[in-house]
Amino acid sequence: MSDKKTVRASVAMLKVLEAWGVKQVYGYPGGSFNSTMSALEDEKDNIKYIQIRHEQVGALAAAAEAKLTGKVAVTFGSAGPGAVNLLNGLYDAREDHAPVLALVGQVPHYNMNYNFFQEFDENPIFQDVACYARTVMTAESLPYVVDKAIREAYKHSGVAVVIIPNDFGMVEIPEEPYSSVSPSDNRNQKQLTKRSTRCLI
Amino acid sequence: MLDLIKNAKRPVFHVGKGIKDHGDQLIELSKKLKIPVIMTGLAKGLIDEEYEGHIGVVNRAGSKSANEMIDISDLIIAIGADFPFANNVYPRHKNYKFVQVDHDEAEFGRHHYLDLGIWSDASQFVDKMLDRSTEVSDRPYYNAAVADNNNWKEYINKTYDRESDPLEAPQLYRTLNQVATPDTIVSLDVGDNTINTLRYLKVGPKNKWTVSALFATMGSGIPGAIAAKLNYPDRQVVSIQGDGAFSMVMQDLITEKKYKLPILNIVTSNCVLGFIKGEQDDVDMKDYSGIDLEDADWAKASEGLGVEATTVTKSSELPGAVEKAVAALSAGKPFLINAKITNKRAFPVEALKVEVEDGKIKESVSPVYNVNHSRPDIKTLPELFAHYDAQELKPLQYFIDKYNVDLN
Ligand SMILES: Cc1ncc(C[n+]2csc(CCOP(=O)(O)OP(=O)(O)O)c2C)c(N)n1
Ligand SMILES: [Mg+2]
Repeated sequence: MSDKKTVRASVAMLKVLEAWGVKQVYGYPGGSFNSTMSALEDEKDNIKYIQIRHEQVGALAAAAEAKLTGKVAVTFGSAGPGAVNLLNGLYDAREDHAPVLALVGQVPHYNMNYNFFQEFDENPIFQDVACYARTVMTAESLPYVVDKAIREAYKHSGVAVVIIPNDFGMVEIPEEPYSSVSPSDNRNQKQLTKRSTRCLI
Repeated sequence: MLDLIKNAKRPVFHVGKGIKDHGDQLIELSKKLKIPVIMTGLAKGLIDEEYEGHIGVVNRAGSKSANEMIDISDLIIAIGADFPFANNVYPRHKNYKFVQVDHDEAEFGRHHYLDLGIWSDASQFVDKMLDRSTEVSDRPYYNAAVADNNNWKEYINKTYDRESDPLEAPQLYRTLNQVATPDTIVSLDVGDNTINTLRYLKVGPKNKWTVSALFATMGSGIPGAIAAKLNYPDRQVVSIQGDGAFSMVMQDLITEKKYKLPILNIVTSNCVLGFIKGEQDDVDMKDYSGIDLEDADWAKASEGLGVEATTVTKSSELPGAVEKAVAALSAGKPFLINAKITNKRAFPVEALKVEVEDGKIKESVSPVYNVNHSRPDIKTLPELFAHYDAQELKPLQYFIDKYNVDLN
């Protein structure tokens, strides 16, 4: 067991996005999102970070990407103000039935529930807009929750939100094939894409 | 279904995005049964807009013909249509049958109470109807709809083809249609451009356009264009937005520059929240309130953010602006055209009130039109047509008489 390979949870999470065919993520950094920022640097040959200048623009760009391509699109914002700035674009995605995943920063898990700086329970913000909104509870489950969120976004043609306590992203976890993408999904995705080239836009 | 059609004199299709790639088959069905086609705004481009039986879109952004024709229909067949303005349009008249074809049963009755619900994919429905229906040789209502719509197109084409100083929106769209390629992607923002896009933008089978549709948030134009260019790097991408919408997200021109995204951005600068101005005309209030926008030099702002730009104030300057734009795009750089346009209200189809009385059309200027009295008082249709420089438009009764449409 001890010689088993490990990977940072944030990198494992990005690999899940890559497996789903995500080519770029739109977002804006913040201290509470640095574990994912670090992974974006590590993975930059496989997935592109698009630095927009307002989280609303990132969320709207993701919504438009999902409407144009029919595929899940990804946006992110850091804890507190970054998270709230996403809302406008997420509502756009919800209203037009576009599959969008939002990754949202949160302070390290050991500071949660202390009214730490920029810290508060973020789930209620997204309860209305999202068909799925979860806070990650362990480093090991981070890639799984993101994978599940993408499935929910596709299933409901809507918004899925994953709130990530920053420290979890830096934890080394076993290197496993975390993505659940399977050939049957590809079939669905192709159908969805074909349909949506004209109908979602 | 076939019986309902057989018994109808004035049936109309109201078709939404659900039709997907079955636009041609729908046209075939429309020709076979002589039933005119009205589309929802979002379905623009899914059926050939040159087809004579395609009479446009209903509600504010739509055509005079579609709005008039739906108001005298005796059968509405809604096919794959998620129509957000149902409560504005469908209750305007009574005594008609309503059929909803939807792939989701849970949606039945959401737009109007049903005489018949058909749980079916739109394309399958059209195929089956083509198979099972018998040809109708002639239908006065259809002929009137085509003629009414041709009259509307005549007006639209006039506003499109003329030159203007100061610049008007239609010529800007003419220019956009000229530079566009068969696979151009347009990212449309919310405002008067919504109306102008539906009326003037040409969307072919390979084009795409995206908009914040139901949520309709301002500031979606530039984000949509960024996404379009990143996902379709080989295709021409255009964003078009008003000055209000632009100033909500203009900082992201920097993003277009940073990632070398050759996007053509068009700002329609009229120094007002134009779309809301049109609405305030028809609200009982003392005067316009809170809608004037301080002017700014958007070309200069754009250049400051690193995106080359030019300003146009009259239609004769458009070709020169386009030349600069094309040069920038070919060099892999974004560009911005700051189009200073008039703040004229687009022809208000919503001001037309259509009723049927004793087998005759009673068409008048809606009492809510211009209740704030900011415009000259208008009482009659000819006055309305003249005020909007649309003298060629004819009242609905003209087409009813010409084609002997039975309104009973
Ligand atoms: C974020 C947001 N705020 C307000 C509105 C309401 N609204 C719809 S259109 C419009 C005016 C848009 O003005 P502008 O962008 O200048 O375009 P114009 O209509 O003048 O062409 C407003 C305020 C909205 N749709 N979205
Ligand atoms: Mg404006």
